[in-house]
Amino acid sequence: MKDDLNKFLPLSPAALHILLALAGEDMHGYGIMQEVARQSEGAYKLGPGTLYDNLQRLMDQGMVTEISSDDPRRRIYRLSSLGRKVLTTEISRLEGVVREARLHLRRV
Amino acid sequence: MRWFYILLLRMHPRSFRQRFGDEMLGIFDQSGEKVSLMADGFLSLARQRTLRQPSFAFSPTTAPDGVPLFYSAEAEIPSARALMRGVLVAFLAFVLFSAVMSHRWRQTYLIVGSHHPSPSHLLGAHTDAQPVADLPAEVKVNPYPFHPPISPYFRFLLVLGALDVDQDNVISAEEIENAPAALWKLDKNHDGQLTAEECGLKSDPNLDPLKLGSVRLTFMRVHPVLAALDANHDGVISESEIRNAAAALRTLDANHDGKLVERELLPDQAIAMAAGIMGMLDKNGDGRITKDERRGPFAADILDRADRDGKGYVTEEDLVIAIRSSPAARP
Repeated sequence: MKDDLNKFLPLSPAALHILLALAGEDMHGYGIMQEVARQSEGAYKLGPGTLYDNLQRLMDQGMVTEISSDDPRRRIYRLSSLGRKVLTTEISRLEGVVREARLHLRRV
Repeated sequence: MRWFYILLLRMHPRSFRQRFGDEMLGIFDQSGEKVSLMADGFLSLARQRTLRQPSFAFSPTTAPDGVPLFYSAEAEIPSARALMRGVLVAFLAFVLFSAVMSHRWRQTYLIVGSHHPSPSHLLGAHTDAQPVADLPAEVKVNPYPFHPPISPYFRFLLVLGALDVDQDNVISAEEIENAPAALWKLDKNHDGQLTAEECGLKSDPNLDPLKLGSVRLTFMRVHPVLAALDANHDGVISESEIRNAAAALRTLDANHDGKLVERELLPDQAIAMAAGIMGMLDKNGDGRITKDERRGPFAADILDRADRDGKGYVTEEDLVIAIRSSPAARP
């Protein structure tokens, strides 16, 4: 199972931020953009082109699903169970990277 | 700007546009950062058209009896619209390439052609090279990869560069015969005569007029080809001297083989050295180097020996004699 998840890793920064934004709640596209800007304190801003290009790919891979909405012009996106597992694995991988980085920086 | 963004969206693949186009346009309308969204739209278009295009998946399957089945790609041929786009892109590339090649700032070495426009040429070639219209048309193909470089002396002396049309460092019999026509091309101001500057002298225009005149005369006298052409040694190759150029050049043909090679054209070393010393030290251009004009230890040994009769000054003739009699000049 872990091998199946590893084929999605490492995630691109845009994909990571989108999955992180959807980890809290279901959102529409504009909401994801705002949440990504908030998470990164304005340092990383997603444009709609980048957002929907990544959303398309994440949906094709089954990590994000589209759910029905009252407003047909505003689609709502949800993190799937596969997406959550991939995100969890990626966070673990990043924690290892951070741990190694701190260890090496301390030596310097 | 909204109209342009809509155009950008329309250029995205249809499936992407139908799925996300309305939402992207809605975000564009809400956002205040239109310029960055335009840039983002361009990047998205590039990604969709290059990285996200569906690839044809040819996956032949195997029949139960083990014989592989071959996949037919007949249904996957490009659509008529894609073919039309290909034609349009190819045509635009051809037009762009033609425009670049025919423009003045194109790289001339990319073009194989003639100096003269001809209906038989698709593209006219324009170069700064000297045309060779005065000689019979002749195409020389060098069978050897090595081509001798142009002699520095031929490059320095514009007269030799003009005479040596085929740039082989030899003034052939045909080129000697063609000399008047070649020399006329050096007459930049069209006054019917060639000055020292038009023959290759790089003079300082701020020089004292007397000194400048002396420099010009020395230049025309030191170089054998100029001395031969300037028959009356007035420092200028006149119209009549240009007309008589072929006969004047033949006087330099020491071995009478009908052509002039570099060793027949190079100036006498002693004369050239003496002229150089005079040019540097004779400040007032009176043809004499006095004790006041001497510059410390520079050429002191030669100058001392040149003033052998102790007259207090040295002429160019004195210098030539001193140089030729110096131990270094003896064989």
